[in-house]
Amino acid sequence: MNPWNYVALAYGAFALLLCWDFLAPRLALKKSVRAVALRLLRRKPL
Amino acid sequence: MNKVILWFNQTGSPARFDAFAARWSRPSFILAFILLAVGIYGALFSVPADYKQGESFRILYIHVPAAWMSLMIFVIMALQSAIALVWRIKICELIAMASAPVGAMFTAVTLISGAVWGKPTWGTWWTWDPRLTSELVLLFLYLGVMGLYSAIDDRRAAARAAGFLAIIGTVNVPIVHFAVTWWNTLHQGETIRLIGPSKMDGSMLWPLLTLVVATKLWYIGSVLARARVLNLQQESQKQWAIERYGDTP
Repeated sequence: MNPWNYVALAYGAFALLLCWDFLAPRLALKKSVRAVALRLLRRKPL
Repeated sequence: MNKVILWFNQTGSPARFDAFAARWSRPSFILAFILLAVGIYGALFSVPADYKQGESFRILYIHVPAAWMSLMIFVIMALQSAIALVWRIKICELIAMASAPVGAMFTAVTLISGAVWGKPTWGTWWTWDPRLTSELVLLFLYLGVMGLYSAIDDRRAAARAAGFLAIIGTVNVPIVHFAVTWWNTLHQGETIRLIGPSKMDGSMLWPLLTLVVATKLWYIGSVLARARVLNLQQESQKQWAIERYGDTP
């Protein structure tokens, strides 16, 4: 395999893991904020 | 009261910490992205190929900063856990537990990039070398902390149990660091030294230093974002959380 293929593989894995680390807490935060909003909605009288 | 102590006390309140994390996570990420771009450009296109390892040495520009982060984050996690266990400071528990996935991510980067570098250089993806094996144990310790934290319903008890594991796990940190000096190992010894001359030429050093700073800023951004989520999950029924996020569509 060409040495640049190894370089691309390593940097690709790095980028993928950074993307996960960046997106995972953002998605979790959205879910948590939504849960707070829904809780308030349930408390309000109809 | 001393202004610094007062600031720490105030930031320790969940509502203030939420605002603090929301404010500082984004700038940390933006700076980290800029430095990552500059550092990766330098590593891939600016520095010349190594005279022995050829082009594959460029992998070390992500491998080395990730390896340093994997150790540094574990020490921070253990320190925060110790503070949380002794003084029962909730924010320290959150920072410790938020550090675990970030540390696991950097450890995974270290192991993957090391394997990908090892194939063209050593002729193998993996060998049961002391440095590699102790780094793999570090990943298992991170996963153990994360698993233990998720396995217990009571969040405070879960953080205490997982924090205890993190403190015990610090035994592995010097083993990873000194594996190359204590044992005969395939892994190369120290190339860059904080004190004394480095074996790496200065012209090849700047992308590495840029990426070292970038990964640290990334950790700050990520740990603040993750700690903010854990904080909000625990505080979702509190008045401040309802007032701040209750009207979010």
